[in-house]
Formats: sequence, C-alpha cells, structure tokens
Amino acid sequence: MMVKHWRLWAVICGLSAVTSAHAACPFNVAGGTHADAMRDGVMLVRYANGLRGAALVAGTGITDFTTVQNTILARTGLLDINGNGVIDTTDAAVISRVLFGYGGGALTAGMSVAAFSTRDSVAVMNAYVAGGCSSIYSAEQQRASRFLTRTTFGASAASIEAFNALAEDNAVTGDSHKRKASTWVTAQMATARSSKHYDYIVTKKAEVDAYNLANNATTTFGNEVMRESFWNQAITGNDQLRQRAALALSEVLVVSSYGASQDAFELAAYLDILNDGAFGNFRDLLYNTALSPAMGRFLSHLRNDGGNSNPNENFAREILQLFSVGLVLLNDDGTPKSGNPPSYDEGTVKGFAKVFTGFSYDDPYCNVTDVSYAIPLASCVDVYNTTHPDWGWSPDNDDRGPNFPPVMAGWKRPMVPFFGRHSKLSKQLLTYTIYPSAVASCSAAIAQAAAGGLLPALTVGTTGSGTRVTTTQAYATINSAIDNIFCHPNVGPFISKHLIKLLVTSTPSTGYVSRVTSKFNNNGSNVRGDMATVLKTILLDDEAITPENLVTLERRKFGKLKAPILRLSALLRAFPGTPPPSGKYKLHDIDSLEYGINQGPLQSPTVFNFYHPDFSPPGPLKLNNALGPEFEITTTTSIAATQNYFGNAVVRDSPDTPYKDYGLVDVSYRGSCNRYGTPRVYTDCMYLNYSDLYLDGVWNDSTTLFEYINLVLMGGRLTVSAQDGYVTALNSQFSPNVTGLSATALAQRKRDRVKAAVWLAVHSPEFQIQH
Amino acid sequence: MKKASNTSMPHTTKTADTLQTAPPRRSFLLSASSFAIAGSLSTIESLTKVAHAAGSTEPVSVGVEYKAIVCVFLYGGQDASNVLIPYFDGNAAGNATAATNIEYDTYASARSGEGAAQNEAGSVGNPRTGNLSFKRSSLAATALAARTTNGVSAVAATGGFTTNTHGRQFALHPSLLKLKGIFDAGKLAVVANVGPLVAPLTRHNVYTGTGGARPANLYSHDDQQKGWMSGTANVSTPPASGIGGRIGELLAGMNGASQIALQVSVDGSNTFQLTSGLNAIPYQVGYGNIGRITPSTPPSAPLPVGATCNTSSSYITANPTSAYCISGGPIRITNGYSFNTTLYNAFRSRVGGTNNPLNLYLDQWGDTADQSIKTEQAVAAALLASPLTEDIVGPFQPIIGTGNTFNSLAAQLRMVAGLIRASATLGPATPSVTPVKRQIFFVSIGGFDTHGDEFWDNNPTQNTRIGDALKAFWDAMGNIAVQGAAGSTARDRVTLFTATDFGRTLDSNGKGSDHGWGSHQFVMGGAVLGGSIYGKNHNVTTAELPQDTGNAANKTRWMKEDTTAGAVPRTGIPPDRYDNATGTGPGAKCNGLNHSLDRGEMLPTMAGDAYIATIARWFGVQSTDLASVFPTLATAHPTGSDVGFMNLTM
Repeated sequence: MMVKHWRLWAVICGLSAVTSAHAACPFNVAGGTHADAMRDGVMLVRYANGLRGAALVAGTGITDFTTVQNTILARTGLLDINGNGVIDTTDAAVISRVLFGYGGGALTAGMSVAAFSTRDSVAVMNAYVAGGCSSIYSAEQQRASRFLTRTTFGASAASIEAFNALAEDNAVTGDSHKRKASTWVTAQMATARSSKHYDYIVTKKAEVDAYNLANNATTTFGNEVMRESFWNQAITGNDQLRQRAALALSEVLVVSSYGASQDAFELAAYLDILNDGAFGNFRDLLYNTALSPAMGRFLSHLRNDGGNSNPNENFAREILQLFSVGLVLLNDDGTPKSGNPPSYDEGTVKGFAKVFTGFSYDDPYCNVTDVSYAIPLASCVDVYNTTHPDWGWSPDNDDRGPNFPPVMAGWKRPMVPFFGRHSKLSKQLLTYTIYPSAVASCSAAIAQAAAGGLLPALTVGTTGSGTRVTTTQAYATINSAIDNIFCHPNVGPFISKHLIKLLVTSTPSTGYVSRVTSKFNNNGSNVRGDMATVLKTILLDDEAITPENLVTLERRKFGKLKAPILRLSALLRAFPGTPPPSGKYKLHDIDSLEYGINQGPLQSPTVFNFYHPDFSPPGPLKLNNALGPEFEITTTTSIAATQNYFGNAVVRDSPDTPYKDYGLVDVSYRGSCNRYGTPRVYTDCMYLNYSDLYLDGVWNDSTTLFEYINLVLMGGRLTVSAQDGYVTALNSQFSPNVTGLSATALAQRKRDRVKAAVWLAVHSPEFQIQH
Repeated sequence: MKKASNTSMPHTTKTADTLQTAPPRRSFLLSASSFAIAGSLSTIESLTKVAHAAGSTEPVSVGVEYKAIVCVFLYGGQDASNVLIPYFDGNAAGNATAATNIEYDTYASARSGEGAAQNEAGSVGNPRTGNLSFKRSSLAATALAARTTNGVSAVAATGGFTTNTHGRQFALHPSLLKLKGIFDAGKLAVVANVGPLVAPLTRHNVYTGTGGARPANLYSHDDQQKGWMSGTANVSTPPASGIGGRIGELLAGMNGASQIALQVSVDGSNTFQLTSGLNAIPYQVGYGNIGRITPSTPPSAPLPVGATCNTSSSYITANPTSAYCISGGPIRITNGYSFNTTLYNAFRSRVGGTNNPLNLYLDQWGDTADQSIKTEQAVAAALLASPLTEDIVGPFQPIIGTGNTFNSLAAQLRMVAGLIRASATLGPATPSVTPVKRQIFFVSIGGFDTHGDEFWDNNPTQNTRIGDALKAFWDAMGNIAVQGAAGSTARDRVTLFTATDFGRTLDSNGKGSDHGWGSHQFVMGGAVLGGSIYGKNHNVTTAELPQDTGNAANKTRWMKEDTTAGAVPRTGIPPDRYDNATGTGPGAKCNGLNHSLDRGEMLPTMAGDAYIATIARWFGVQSTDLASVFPTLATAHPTGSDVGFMNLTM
C-alpha cells in the first residue's frame, strides 16, 4: 500500500504541471479543459474551410466565436501541421484524427504527401503531433493499461507502473512499449503457478469433513469450490498471463460444470491441465484433455465400450469440430478454402468414435502399473467378485463396501485403457495431403493421412483372452489419432484465430492470423504447436500493439467486448481490497442471468462455449462485417442484470466499518457476504478498496478522479468530451465545494463523489470494450 | 452437445461456514441508508415492482388483427423415435393382439440393447440400460386416438403430404401424456420425419452421392440448429439471418412504431430471430419470478400504497387470494445512482445512436443498452396496464417447480403468455395506444443430447416438462379474449411449434443414442388442423412402393425393408454397411427400415423449411415472399409450400 500511495502522490504532485500543459495544448482552441475532436476538431475543420462567425461554433456548445477565431489565428504556427504557412484542410484533418485517437500511419492515410510542405514525412508529422495533447497520464501508461487488459485479469495502478519500469527487450524490433511488453511476457512465462487448483480443493474438502465430523453435520461440497479457487488465483496470483491463457483455452477446449462433470476435484484438475499446459505444446493439451476424467464425463467417452460396433460419437465429433480442425478446410489466414470443402465426413467421426473407446478412471485398487498410486488389497476380488482394476470404478465410488473407500486422486489421474475394452475394428482418421514445410515430428502422421488415414483393424489372437485388445494397443491407437489431428493443417489457423479473438480482437485481419499461424506451424526451432511462441506472437503483433496505425474501418473493427468474467475481475484488480477473512473468494454462482453476470469459469451452458466465435450481432458490427462473439450473451436482459451487478459491487456498502467507504462485492447473489451474528461477522466479504481515490486532490478534483479511473478501468479510452460530461454531472450532483459541511456530511460527500465516479465508469461503453 | 443437462438451476450447496440467506430478488442496494441519494430508493423500488404488479381490471384481450408464432427449440437433438412410437398396426383385421404389432416389434428390435425395454419414467426396480425402447404396455395411456379405422385420414390430403396412416395407431412418449388431450381435440398435430433438406433425397442418393445437394455439416449440433433456424441448410458459414428474423423484417411494418420489437426472445440470442437489418432486432427478456402482492390484495382491488411483489414461496402459499405479480423479466438498470437524475442522464446520454469514429464495439454495446432501457420501460408499463392474473399464471404455477425440478420452458412460456396478454397496449403509443398486430416469440429447453447414461434420466424428465409447459400455455391462451371476436380466444391467434437439432439414432450405442437427422415435431394452436400425423414416418405408402401393390401385409407395415434402392444386396449401398445375408455391418439393425440410414438416422421426408413455411403462410407471409424468406424451399420441397396442417383462412 505504501508503494502505491507514493506513486499516486507522485502523480498528484506532478498534476499541476501536466494540467498547464493541457491548457497550452495548441489543439485546444475552445479553451476547455482538454482538446476534443467533436468540438475543437470540428471547429478547425470549419475554419480551414473558411467558415467564420456563428457558423464556426454552431452545435459545439461554444458561443464566443470571436475568442475562438482569435485563438486559432494566434496559434497558426502551432496548428500548421504540414508547415505550409496556413491552416488548411490537411492540417485540420490530421488534428481531428489525433483527437479521435488515431496515430502513426493512420494520421496521414489517404493524403497526398504533396500537400505537406516542410513537415513532409509521416514520421516528422507524427513526431510533431505527439507533443500535442494527452491525458495527465502518458501514452505509455495508457498503452500499458490496455496491454494488461489483454494479458491479465485487469490492470491496476501498481501493475501499470511495474510494466513501465521494465527493461526493454532489445531482441525485439519495435518501440519502447513493445520491447517492454516482450520483457513482460517473457517474465510471465517464467513465473511459477501460485498453486494447483486441485490442492485447494483437497484442503477445503478436509476442512468440510472436519467440520461435519465435529458438528455431526452433513455439509455438502460442490463444484462451486472450484470457482472459489479460480477467483482466488485470478485476483491475487502473479502468474496472470498463464491464468489468462488458461481461461481462453477453457473457452476452446470446453468442459463445463453443466453436464456430467460436476465434481470440484475433477474440474479443478481440468483447470490445472490448462494452466500447466498453457505455455507447453498444443499436442499435449489435446492429449491431456482428451484423457482427463472431466472431459471423459462431459463428452461421455468415459467407459465408451469398444465392444459395441457403434460406440458413442460425442467426443469424437467435438474434438474434431470444436477443439482442433473445424468443419471446413482453412487457409493459413483463417479463411475457408474456396467452396468451403469439408474437413472430414461421417465415416471419420465414426472412426474417431472407435478410437476413444476402452478408457475409464484409473482404478488404484490392485493397480500394478503405478505402485505409488496403487492400493494393495489382501484379495484383488471385492465382495461383488469383481476383479480390480475395475472398469466400473469411479473415484467417488462408495458402493463397494468399506474395503473400497473413495480415492479423490483418481480425479486428477488421466483415464487409462482397460484390457479388452478398446475397439479392435479399423478406424478411419482424417485424411489430408502432404503439405510443404511441415515439421519432422509430423512426417509419419502426414504420410498416414495422405495414404488414406485408415488405421487397420488391430491384430489379436484367435483364442481366449488373446482375442482381446491390449492396453498397449489402445495407447498406440490414441497416440496415432492425436498425431493425426494435431498435424492437420487446419489446426494452426483454427487455434490461432480462436486465441486472437479471445485475447485481442474479435475481428482480426487475415494478416494477423497468418502471422500467428506460421508460428504455430513452426516456432522457428522446428516445433509445431509451441503455445509459448503462439501466445507471444499474438500479444506482440503490431495489430495488437499499435492499433492506432490501422486505417479507418480496420481501426473501427479492432477490439472486443470484454467477457463478463473479465470485467468483474478488472474491477477487483483495479481496486483490490484485502482478501476476505476466510480466504475464500466465494464468487460461486454469479452466472445467473437475472442476478449475476451471465458467465462463470467452466460454466458454459454447452460445449459450444458461452458464445460462438463467428457470431455477429445485428447493428453496427454486422453492418460492417465485424464479429462480436461476446455480444451473443450480452442481450437486452443480461446487459441490464450485468450492469446492475457491477453497479451494486461498486456502490453497495455496509453500514458498519470497515467497508463503508468501499464497494462491497456481492460474492454470490445468495448473499454470503451479508453480515450476520453478534458481533457482526464478515468472514467472506470481498470489497473494492478505493483508498487511492479518497486522497485529497483526487476525490475533490473531478478531472483527476476520472483520469485515474479512466486509466485503470478503461485504458485511457474515455474521450475527453465524455469525461467532461461526467465531470459536469458529478460536480453538479455532489459539489467538490465542501465549505461548511459537518464532518459526517463531509465523509458522506467523499463517498458519494468517489462511488458515483466509479459507477459512471462501469456504466461506460469504454469499460465494457477493449480496443 | 447443446444445453445438455443444463436444465436445472445452478446447484448450490450449504457449506460449513456460510449462513445462507434468501437471495435478494433484484440487485437493489441492500443497505441504502448511508447514501444521501439513497433516501428515495425504497419508494422508487416499490414503484418498479408495482409497475409489474397486478390489480387492474382492464379487459384482457389481444387486438383484432393479432397473430403470434412461438418457436420452441429443443436443444441437443430430441430422441424423436421415442416421441412418436408405433403402437398398434391396426390393419384390416383391426386386431390389436401382440402378434399383429409388427411395427412396434420392429421399433423395439431396432432400439434394443443390453437389458429390457423400459417402463414409464423412473419406475422403481427398472434398471436403466442400453435398451432404448419402451415396453408396449407402458404406451397405452398415450396412444393417440384413432381418427379412422379404414386407412383414410380425417384430413384431406394436400399436395400429397398429408399422412395416410393406414389406420395405424401411434403412441406418444409416456411422459407427454398432457399433449394427448390436445391432439385428440384436434388442436395439436405431429409432423413426422422433418429435417433440414436442400433437395429431396432417397437413401440411394445418400449412399451413392447422387441426387441434389445435401445440408452442410449434417450431424453437427451447431450447424443443424442453424440450418433449422435459418432455413439455409446448405450454408456452412454462419447465416446472416434466421427465418423468424426475415419474417419479422418483412412484417415489421404491420406493427408500425410499436413500443416493443416484433420479435421477443425469452431465451437470449438465437439464430431463428437473427436479423440482417435493424427493424426487427429481437427484444430479449427474462422469464421473471412470480409473486403475490403484499400486503395481500385481491385481484379486483386497487393496489394499496407501497404495495410490492413478494416472490417468496411461503408468502405465495400463505396468501392464495392475493393478486399475482411478476418481478424480473424485463430488467431495469437500477443500481446505485441510476435514480439520481443527473448522474443517470450522464450515463444515459452516452448509449444509443452514437457513431463512434474510432470503434464499432462501443456503438454496438451502446445500442444494446439503449434498446434494453427503452423497451423495459414500455413493457413495464404494459404489464401494469394488463397485469398477469390468475388466468395466466394459474396454469403454470403447479408445474413450474424449483431447484432441480425447475421447468424453465414453463417459466419462459409464462412470460410469453404475459406479453401476449399485454400486447394490446404495446403497439404504437401515438396518437393513441393501439395493439400489436404480429409477434414472434422464441423459447427453448435443453438436455436432449442423450448419448450416455443420461438417456433414461433426461428423456422422461424433459418430455414431461414439454408436456406440462405446452398444456399450461394452451390453458392460459384459452383465458385471453380477442377484441371484436366474441367466443374466440388467443388460442386461435397463436401457433406454437417445436424444432430440434436433429433426431437421434434408433440404434443404441450401449447407453444412449447418437446424432441423427429427421425428427418429429409438434404444432399447436386453434388454427392447426390437428389430431393428425403429417408427413411420413418410417412408412411405406402404396404410392411409394408400387411393387407392394396388392400386398396387404407390406402396405400396412410402417417399418419394413426398403427395396427402392434395388434388390438385396442393394444396388448402390456398400456391402460393408448392410449385408442382408449375414445381418452384419453398421446398418444391420436399421437398414431394413424405410428412410433409415446406417444406425437409424432417419432421412427426412419433409424439409424443415416447408414445415415452418406452412406456419408462415398462416402468419401473413404472402406466397410471393416465400422465396426470400425460405431461399431453399423451392428445391427442398418442390411439391409446394403448404404441408396442409394449418387452416390458412383463420
């Protein structure tokens, strides 16, 4: 806390100087607090077109045109961007673009260089205007905030400062921000996990068991505890990029507590697979998730019996369609190949259905393959006369008598093949032709796919148990099938585009997808599917790092609606309170449509994720051929409920200390943060700590107040005119002039000003959107 | 897998150190007293709730020109083979002995697996097995009334697509008992073996790759849902609009400057209502929670000052004479400072109608918030003018359930019923308030993707919910009058229909069934020529199989070997699929059935487009507009757009 206060004081101490720089900003011709595109930009365009008098200021809210005209005239030298001695339409257009937030090449796109006089190159003009008008926070601070919005669960003053204090990675070509971003990503990838989600569940289960024993109680233990662990780590963990990537992966390789997998242990173990593998290889992610008990239950290939001539097709279909290849053949830029040729047919689905047969939980009883896990028994035949390991065994299985207590570790063990349960029939895999520059490790799989992709029927004996498929054969089949998928040329563009959409922008350019695909296909060291390289490529791509350089329509399509989980986490990280006294982040059931935010980790309603990656909502996005997946769950109903949840979190308080000044997060709509008992108990309360905003010079200076909030919650994207409107409203409703107020009234005024400002922020479009 | 097993409320548990309290019904400030601005909140909260409350004695009616369609989508792929089950061959002999029930036996055989056939849902001592069939004895209660005994349907054939049942009798899934009465009364029809098609196909076509185009990405949940809902079965990229969306855009002019969008979804975003343009973007509303007015107030009495909507079940039970009300549904952005006019306006002025030069996503979010705010106000006012009463809520209350028994479909249809009832005040507000003329509603229920162990849990449960919800909706519609049409009720103006991703395999995978193609659907309403089965089940008609002419046994068999593709072994059907001699191959069990592919995926005999187009014609889509609303209808269903189950004159 001390560090942060020091930082904020530093900002405040420097504030007056920065503010005077604002006043001196040459583009601020109307004399407002800041230069604004819709006011100053408009006037300059009109001026350049010869309009004077009332016509100059019409509709801008300014009436004193004489002063404006005199100001413009006096600043001719400063406003003459192209240095030709007069304020012409080129100057006015460039300034307007600057005020709208464009930069780089976009500033001069479509203009003839011949119109430029002395400042006749883009670089020179950019350098000139860069000295113009900015927030009290530097462009570097704003860019850091936006970068952290893409890569973490939310930016904070501390994390922005830390980012900008990083050394630049000189191995990267680009500006200072990009070099620091590279340093940041490298450091994050080297950051260890804080702890395993699975271990959290073990601890909490032991607590509940002890409580039940001591109190003769029957408290249940459900999958909400997994979400508790998720939020704990998302809010407090240092391994932010890993967790953020794991969340994105959980929206591709979907498992949900709505489905058969409803156990806290198995879901936590699944989340661990994604976190552990986030910077590993995609082939391992495919393999490990395919054999995870959570996936086995969710898509019902667990105990899929290969003895059936038509085994369950559920997982087979989804691993191809949703997790790896997709339905149609793709170019490396993510677009479908001409004519939308299908990637596979029903025969292939039926083939993979046979691949994913014969697997079930890893029964520890009488287990001979792993002695450290095995539980020896006097007899390996139980009271039901079933030989172990048992195809029917399940980690929570408690119906086999006292000799077979549940073994929770079974939830994190990969499923294993059972002797004689895997299909012996031939299996049609994906077919594809040999493609150029494939990595060597794919050679065999590609050759097999090119030769028809048919795995022959397994060779078995003719008598007795010799006719049954061995576990070794089952493993060999699975490995061949995963290689067959992994080496399909679609996987690169398919996964790359997914991750770009989940992290950076809903409507990436084809060039962006191509650049990431090429790194997926080969990381430069002949490794395919290296997720560390893929993620770094996504995050450091110039389209993400400097969207200002995109030209008009492409710039408007850049960005995305932040998923509700990420908006809530942004609040919790921007204004971090101390942990709940219980240590439990009980955001258990906040995916309620009516009372919550319509989303929760591993709570997708279906395997198709919360939203389809190609969804385009009617309205501005569809009219411009842009995508907006997250808008599929942002309906006229949910938008109100979600805003109410955020508004509630921001302003709700407790009449008792210590939470009065803070926002009290409704940890679940079931109100487990409600105070109860005498004396009051706040065991699980989570709150937003606004202490930075209560500092003198912040709470009573509306511009400073909003600038701070704008930086941490909106990446500085709240426009000056919008912020001016908020300042006016706030000052009008809760005046910063507190002369004569009693101590009680003063405290109330501070609360009202701070909370109203944050309330307005979380209701701003700029809080919902990252761009 | 779409919405499989996601049909109950999120399950919650009580943990050792948590004192569970009743959830706040809305996200209002719980302890507002510390705010200077908060003093007015309690009053405003009350107003909000009263705005949703009952108490008026306004006439209950829809406008004279009113019509609505309600799409009930069954996410996950309904196991249609257990929705409409052969019960009684009823051939010329009229003999119902077991020996004549060849078709039932064929069904039971095709669905067989480890274990015995099942009794009705949840029978004690009835282990759930991989046998997917019902015992015939458990079907007696849901056997549909025989319309004829001589092989002639009560409904005249139209375009050749009205089923001739040959006197055969079918039973509904035992859990759909409540629909039997509506069917028998002639207001519910079953449309058999309907599914996405781009062109009519025979099984020979499918196996040999001949004939017309086929739908893109068959057997994929997502794509078949989109195919059904968009009427563009051959488009593999995301459709730009849905059938409802195109009908809505076509007819939006009828509603004029209506206060509510022509399309309303009680189930969030969906492809059916997707629009390309801006004039029929659906309003999405929640299903809300039913309460009773506190203090207890009879429906006919004026609301007392400060009345609120109490949604606790104990209060509802304890005050059976108090008027019904609904909270939630249309949700207002209410928290914190939103009742502070200055601050609220600072937010309000920033959403809707902007044209941000830098970013489209900001505009999209703002427009969504803008529609939410505007429509919530109108709907809240309309519900005040035409509140939910016992007549509307009563049929639903006994069957809604809570927790794991919660019937979300019923809750959604309850909101639809409420909005239909309020439609008379939701049309244009100026110069005077007039009724809405057209509405398209969307609701859904999931849990049908029964690949595994859930088969015998979900199918009885979900079908019970469908039966309960549709019957309650039917009852509620009977309690809404129609302006200027004495004796008529909203039943005559509302047509409800079901659709699903696809049917499922007849064949068991050892636990449940896998993805199929054609399925059976329900259509219900006063304008429906019900009590009949339309389309073709797995049947053979004399017209189809001339070689069977004169063969009474074959003619009247619903399921039999299809020899249309040639002699056995059949021309064009790869021998590894079906070998009649040895009974092996993937299709060994089901290839003997008509329209059945390898595992009993049924090849549709009617395009989903034709099914919905028939309803669209009744709704007011002119024949000249059919091609634009259903772009592939003409090729998919060349014999005409009217399948015959709607009374187009109503």
